[in-house]
Amino acid sequence: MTRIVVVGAGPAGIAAACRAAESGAMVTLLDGEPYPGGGIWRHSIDYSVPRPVRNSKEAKNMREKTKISNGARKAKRWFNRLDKVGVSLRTSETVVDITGRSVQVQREQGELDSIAFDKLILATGAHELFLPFPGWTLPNVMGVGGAQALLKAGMPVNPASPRGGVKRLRVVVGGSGPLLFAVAASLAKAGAKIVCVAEQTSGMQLAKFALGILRYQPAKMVQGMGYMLQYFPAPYWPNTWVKEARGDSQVREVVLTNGKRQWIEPADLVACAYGLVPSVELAALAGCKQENGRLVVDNLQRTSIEGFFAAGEITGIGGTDLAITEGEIAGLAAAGKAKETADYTDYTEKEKKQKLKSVKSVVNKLIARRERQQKFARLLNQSFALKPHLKQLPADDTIVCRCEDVTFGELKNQADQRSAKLYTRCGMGPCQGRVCSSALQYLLDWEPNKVRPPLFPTKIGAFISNTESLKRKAKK
Amino acid sequence: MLGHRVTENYDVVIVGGGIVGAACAAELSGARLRILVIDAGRVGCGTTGASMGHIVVMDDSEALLNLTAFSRELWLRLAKDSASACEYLPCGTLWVAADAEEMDVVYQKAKNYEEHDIAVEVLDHKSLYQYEPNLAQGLAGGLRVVGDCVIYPPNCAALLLQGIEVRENCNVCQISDNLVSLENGSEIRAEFIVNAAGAAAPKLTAELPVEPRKGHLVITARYPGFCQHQIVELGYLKSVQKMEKESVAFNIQPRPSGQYLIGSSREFAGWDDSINRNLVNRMLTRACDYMPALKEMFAIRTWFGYRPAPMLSCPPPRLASGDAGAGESKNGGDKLPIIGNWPKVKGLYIAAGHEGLGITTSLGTARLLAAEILGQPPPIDPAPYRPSRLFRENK
Ligand SMILES: Cc1cc2nc3c(=O)[nH]c(=O)nc-3n(C[C@H](O)[C@H](O)[C@H](O)COP(=O)(O)OP(=O)(O)OC[C@H]3O[C@@H](n4cnc5c(N)ncnc54)[C@H](O)[C@@H]3O)c2cc1C
Ligand SMILES: Cc1cc2nc3c(=O)[nH]c(=O)nc-3n(C[C@H](O)[C@H](O)[C@H](O)COP(=O)(O)OP(=O)(O)OC[C@H]3O[C@@H](n4cnc5c(N)ncnc54)[C@H](O)[C@@H]3O)c2cc1C
Repeated sequence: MTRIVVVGAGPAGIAAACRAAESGAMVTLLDGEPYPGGGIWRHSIDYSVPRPVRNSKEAKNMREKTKISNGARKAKRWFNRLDKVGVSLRTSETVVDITGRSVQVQREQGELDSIAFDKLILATGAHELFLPFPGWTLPNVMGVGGAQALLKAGMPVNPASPRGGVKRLRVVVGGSGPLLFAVAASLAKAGAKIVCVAEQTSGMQLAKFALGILRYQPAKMVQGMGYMLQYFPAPYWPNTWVKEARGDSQVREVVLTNGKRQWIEPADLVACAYGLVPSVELAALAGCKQENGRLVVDNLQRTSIEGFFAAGEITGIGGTDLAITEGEIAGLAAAGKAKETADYTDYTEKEKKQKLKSVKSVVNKLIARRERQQKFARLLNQSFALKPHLKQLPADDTIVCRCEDVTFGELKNQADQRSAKLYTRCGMGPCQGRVCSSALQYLLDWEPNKVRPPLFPTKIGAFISNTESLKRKAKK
Repeated sequence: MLGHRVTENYDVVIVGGGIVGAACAAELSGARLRILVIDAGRVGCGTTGASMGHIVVMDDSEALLNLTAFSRELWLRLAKDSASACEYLPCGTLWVAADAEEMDVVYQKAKNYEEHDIAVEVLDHKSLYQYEPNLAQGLAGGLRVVGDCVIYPPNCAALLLQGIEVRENCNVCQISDNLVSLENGSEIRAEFIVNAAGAAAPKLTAELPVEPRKGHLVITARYPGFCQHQIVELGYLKSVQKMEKESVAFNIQPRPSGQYLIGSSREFAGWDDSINRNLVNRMLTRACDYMPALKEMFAIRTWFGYRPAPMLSCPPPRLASGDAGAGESKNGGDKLPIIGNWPKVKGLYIAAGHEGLGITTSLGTARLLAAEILGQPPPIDPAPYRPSRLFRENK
């Protein structure tokens, strides 16, 4: 039986695991977080309660109230499928290294374990791009994902005011991309007052995007409108971005700009993100080829390393639906179910279409679907491409590397990421540049630094007991 | 540009902007010479940027003791003027003796150091734990070398090169009589050329007996106050006679940030550029034998560098210890760096082969080399380090 390890239990990883297991492979699905689902589905199912309770009416009602129903329905379908096929789902297990044909995972308690595989599917997703601006280190300035996570964890957005009544939290959402809608909607739904959504891209680009959605994914338009209605009547300002956050013990107001003039808006919370960047660190550690910060894959989601596949946002930002399709293809291909399908990489568009028509296998259908979804992905990336103005966001005294307190002024004259690391310690803290590295790649056009194991801080004792257990295994 | 060759002129060209090249440049800069430092990458990006920065007096041999003690004095002077730029940490070295046998070595070493006016303190079982309560139980004692310290090498290299002309990202492809040829086709004439290219030095000077000896380090998250000294095991002594391809020894260094660097490994693996996970695990296991509480700490990154190891077939090795010690070499040898005029190429001087001690010995090396180039009296006896010793057998 083919042993397949899938890293990342987001939509792509779940789809891959399902398809692979359904094809008869022995599948282990790993995720560093306590619950599966990735950035978007993690909170759709309350995994902290046993399954019978999970499926109870009360639980369902509660979920219905808090969830965006369309996405949640899809999530539920996939979670059910996952439950059925018998995948070994291991959460709170983070992959910290890949050596040969095994992954090293770290459990929450800190111990390491190694899991051998014949085929590996990388579905490590994406993280937000956060660009530093003056004042971003003030309390209550955070990423969009951070705000969403806090909300889901029960952050009060309308705390009781000392003078009686409730004081609705005033929130400025800023940055770029459709994610801003989603977070503004969920914050508004929870009772926060959305001051505005500041989207850096131009109105023209947004109009093109809207037209494109109508063409490729009309359902998404409905979803978007739904979001907008939820935080109505807050304004949605294109061509606008947060220039500065001001405050004392926490943020009090933000300075917004459209490049020509600037103005001030009150804010108790600022949620800001400039889109997503693929999380390619683990793949880089393994040595998979990348291009422009994305993993390079072929028609069957194969990476440059034999037996290693990749799916989802790690191969480029394209949204949940594309991630699922890619996951399905990777799962089938890794399980050896895509053999009948030729590798069409060298074919022309026309030849490809003909082939796809003639061989009506599942994989080919999925490949055709992926092509359609990729069109949407391209539109998405073009429409929300970042303005060059944003490279001027940080001031000289703006901290860029929070772990080591390195300012932009110290960094801007360095030649590259490696020099910055050597001379300023930028990116040498506990987060290992996970936050600042992406920002610097954009701000200063730097290449990413070489990835070194362990990928995440790992208990020293774990290395040792792992060696010992390996030795024991070898002896047996 | 076809066929067009640029020829520039300098008095001194130093190939390599590591700590050794930087120190040589700084030392020569007072002499009204036109100096150019060339580095294939960036200043300090080679072994210097991968190392620990432990400034340590070693007594493996008389010659090593003279060079390290002299160099340490120069470091303390430099650090006094620019402590923060150097990230100077006056933590001393603590050599740990595991058992009675190793305590004997402690007494020998103490005697040797004291004869050379190096302040030391012999620690018995009890005083060892007073200094370092996180050491494993049951150790015999140790030797505390008070004046040893820690600096941050890449910043020191940059500091030494202040005001000196440096050409970065510029690869030297050949050194011949008074001529340095660059990869871009241009050439530089110089009266004096210094090959300070670290472990890559033999690529430019054939027959230079230096080879890369890979070493790994692991850095932890922040745990301020866990240990106060650079702590090194003496236990290495026992395994020294074995000519191992790979070896490890316990070595830990406190950083001003509250983080710890854990070493050390030695391995002859050429220019292999992957992490040797097995060796790293062995190294960490060794470290946890000496400091069990390390097991609970988090490692945040692992990396490695290539020590420029001299491969000499000279007198048999004396006992070495710890990381900063040169350790055993499969080729044996006197384990001393190669400093001075290279008789086979006109105008060429060598400053290479510093193995695991190049940060420490860089400043002494530079003094010796500058004295030779400028025709001044040498600060210490230069004979043991001279390249000419390598040619003895041929005569
Ligand atoms: C913060 C955030 C919020 C988002 N909100 C929305 C939204 O509201 N609406 C929307 O349409 N889209 C949203 N998205 C986008 C959406 O998540 C993606 O389009 C889609 O989920 C991508 O799926 P994926 O499987 O490729 O990656 P992800 O869903 O990102 O899943 C990757 C998984 O891999 C795991 N992982 C990564 N590295 C390791 C490792 N080394 N070891 C173990 N596990 C690892 C992660 O924990 C994660 O669970 C959001 C994305 C992010 C990052
Ligand atoms: C893990 C480890 C820990 C260590 N710990 C210590 C310690 O605690 N204390 C201590 O004293 N020493 C220590 N060392 C040893 C020390 O790091 C080295 O001896 C020292 O850095 C050597 O310096 P260098 O200038 O000769 O070499 P490098 O720093 O390697 O400099 C050589 C430079 O030459 C350049 N170069 C090479 N070829 C060319 C070319 N063809 N053209 C142009 N430029 C070129 C390179 O880019 C490089 O920058 C350690 C070493 C390692 C690996």
